[in-house]
Amino acid sequence: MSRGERLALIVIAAVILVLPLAANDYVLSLMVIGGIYAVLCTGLNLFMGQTGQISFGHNAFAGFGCYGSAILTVTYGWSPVFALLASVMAAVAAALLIGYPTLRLRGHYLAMATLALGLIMYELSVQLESLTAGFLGISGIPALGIGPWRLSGDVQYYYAIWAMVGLGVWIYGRIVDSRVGRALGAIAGDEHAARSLGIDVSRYKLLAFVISAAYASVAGSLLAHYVSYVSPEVIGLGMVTLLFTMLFVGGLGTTTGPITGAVLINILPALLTRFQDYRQLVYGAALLLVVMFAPRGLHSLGNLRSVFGGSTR
Amino acid sequence: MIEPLLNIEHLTKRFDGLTAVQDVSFSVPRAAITAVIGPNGAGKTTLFNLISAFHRADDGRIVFAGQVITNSSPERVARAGVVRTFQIARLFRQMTALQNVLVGFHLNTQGNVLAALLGRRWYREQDRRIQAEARRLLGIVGLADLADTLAANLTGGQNRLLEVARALAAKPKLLMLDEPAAGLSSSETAELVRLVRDVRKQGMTVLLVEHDMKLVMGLADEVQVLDFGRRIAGGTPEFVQSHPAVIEAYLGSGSRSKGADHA
Amino acid sequence: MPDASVILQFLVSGIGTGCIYGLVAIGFAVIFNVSGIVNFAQGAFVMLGGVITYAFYRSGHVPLWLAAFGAVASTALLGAAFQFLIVRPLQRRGTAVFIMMLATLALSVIVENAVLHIMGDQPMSFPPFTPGEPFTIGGVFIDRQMLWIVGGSIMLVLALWVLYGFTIIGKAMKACAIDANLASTLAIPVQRMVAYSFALSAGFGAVAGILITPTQYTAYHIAVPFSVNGFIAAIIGGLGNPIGAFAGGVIVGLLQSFAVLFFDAGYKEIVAFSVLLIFLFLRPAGLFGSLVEE
Repeated sequence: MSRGERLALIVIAAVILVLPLAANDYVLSLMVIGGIYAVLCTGLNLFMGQTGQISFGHNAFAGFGCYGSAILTVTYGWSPVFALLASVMAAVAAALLIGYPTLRLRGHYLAMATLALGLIMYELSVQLESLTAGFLGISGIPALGIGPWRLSGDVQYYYAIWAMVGLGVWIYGRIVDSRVGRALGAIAGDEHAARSLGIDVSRYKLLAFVISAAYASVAGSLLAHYVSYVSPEVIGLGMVTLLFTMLFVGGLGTTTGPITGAVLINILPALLTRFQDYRQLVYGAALLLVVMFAPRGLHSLGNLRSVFGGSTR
Repeated sequence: MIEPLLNIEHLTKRFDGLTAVQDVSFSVPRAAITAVIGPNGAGKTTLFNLISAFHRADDGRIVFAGQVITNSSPERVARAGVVRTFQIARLFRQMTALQNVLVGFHLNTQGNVLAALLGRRWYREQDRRIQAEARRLLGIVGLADLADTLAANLTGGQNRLLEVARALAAKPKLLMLDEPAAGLSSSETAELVRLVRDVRKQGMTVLLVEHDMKLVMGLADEVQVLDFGRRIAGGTPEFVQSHPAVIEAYLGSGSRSKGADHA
Repeated sequence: MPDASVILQFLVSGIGTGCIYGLVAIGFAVIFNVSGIVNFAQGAFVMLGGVITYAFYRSGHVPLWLAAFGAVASTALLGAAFQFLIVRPLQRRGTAVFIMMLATLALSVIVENAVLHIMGDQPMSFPPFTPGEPFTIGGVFIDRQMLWIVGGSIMLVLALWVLYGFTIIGKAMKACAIDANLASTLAIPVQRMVAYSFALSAGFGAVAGILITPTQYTAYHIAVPFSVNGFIAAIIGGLGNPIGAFAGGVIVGLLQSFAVLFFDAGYKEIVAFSVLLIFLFLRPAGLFGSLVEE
């Protein structure tokens, strides 16, 4: 991590810390959602940014978290933390299973295979009605907590979730700056060269895939508990567009990118209050604009780059 | 007699009807520099790809330090101790020169995700050690000042030298250089020659493919000559230089019959 | 085991949907051949075909055939505009293929939501091309529109074959798909041919949408399923081969029909996606295509 990025993280942390003092309830709740997506995007960033792969299907793993937590806590009365852990384990198992054949693919084949995975998950959440209540969704999901303590109110959720973001980013940073991270970066740079230096490319791709799946599942669980309702829409194709927009706006491959992207894209509809109903349209347009004009993220526009540091790792 | 480090035995590779490498056999002696030369299309890079397992052989075998490595996988070949560079340098363009070399240390270091998270003393020591080593290697190839430059911003010649430094970081038993001098300035070439000689002095075995005749004759201990996929001569530089088949292969203009048997 | 006439009925409907998927798949294959992009927005073109026809027909008191023609023309124009405004500059910059796929995804989202806001979320439809009772052959009902679907598709496929095989423009388009550099040395205006290819793909999508709307309906949300199923068809048929893609479409249509017959109706998408995965894992080149190296 460059000094610029470290500085940026400190600034972000400071802002996050004091924000509740100044913000109203609405902004606060947007920031909670932003934090949840920041977790998802950080994990996806490890797979797509650091390792240079493609996934159009991480909504599937978020689905494990959303529905896993929802079903286990509502239908079976599990404690939220155990439900979260169980969902992560299921997501990791699925990622291991499906990752092995999928990651042998490249380019658009990989993109379409992961898209198919995400869509299968969506369809399953609609079809397995006895488990998921189909389009009706599952409501009444209890608050997140351990034992007798439960989170209540936006402020508590805010700090709890941003603490998780902090943990997620810390883990990401440690991995990226390590031997493992360098191997992942080598895969992103040139797979043949990586193999010629003894790096087991398939194994490391799978590792990045599984870790990002775990992040997505955690984010899904957090979302389920905060909103206390899940339905198939949440993990549909809309989430895929959203994730890409966030990652690209923030900057793929950077450490702060997932955070700034997630927050900005979440805040965006609120800023343009007239456009509330046009959220999806705005996301689509934003994605198109970013892809056209700022594929390295907003920070590649103008001189913001020099503020946030030169190299991205 | 000391056992050669690498034995190529009757190696054959066909591509869709074209035989790129045909029944090639030779040995690569330890702690020496062996060069593979031949006109364009002779099969030199295919040979490299076969040894480093980027291609599957149709026939024959490759024995390295007593181990059969034919048709294995590039990463396993690397782990056995064979590290190669590429005809067009394959760098990790989004990383700095230093980071590129650090990747080279992957084989000889340890540490999984857990180690990265815990950051125990041994892990940090290892990291310090390879950072220092990496800088030293960059210094050896003359790129010390460019350690923090992105690989994408280096010149072609600097790319090649960086690739060699990175390969050296992997501490290979056999270093394979694919046309390392291509695109280098004369001072960079001199640098490279000095480097390869130093590396041999330290006991490493080098196998290189090269077009630059002067370079090869001055540097190599042994030379193998390929033409149209066949080995047509092998021996000391002096022997090969005056070998009629070799002269024929390089001079060959106008009427040359394909597959004419000289060996 | 269901009755023979029931199986035949499902066969017929499978072929019908299959022809539609086939047309969509041809659109995928053509764009892929000429630009290496998998066009997520293909389904949006299908949706636009039906929606624009509906808009012209209902609001403008325009005869159906003219409305359909207008819809195909405007959708084709949109396809060409997309190539000109977005794909071309991105390609000039050497953008990675997957980022261009993202652009098509973004386009799909924009078009879908634009339609949602302009036309509302209610399903829309228009009457079949020839009114009347379905034909009955041996206990099997064949909707009259079905004849239009199958007949129309086959004619379009033939027209494509003639275009690529016998016309100068078609051969130029094909040349650009095979080797753009070579084509440009032959003084073929490559970018224009690419734009035509995009227009062609969009047009095929629109026709597919128009043909199928009388038998079901159209609305903003049918874009994605058609994109996905059309893509599956293109992969099964082989991304490089437009005619093969049509065959792939018929296969997907039949697969879905049988999924509905033997499993639950809701599982037909899952069956299609699973077949896609199987092909991607085991035979990405599809039945008639050849593998494209990255």
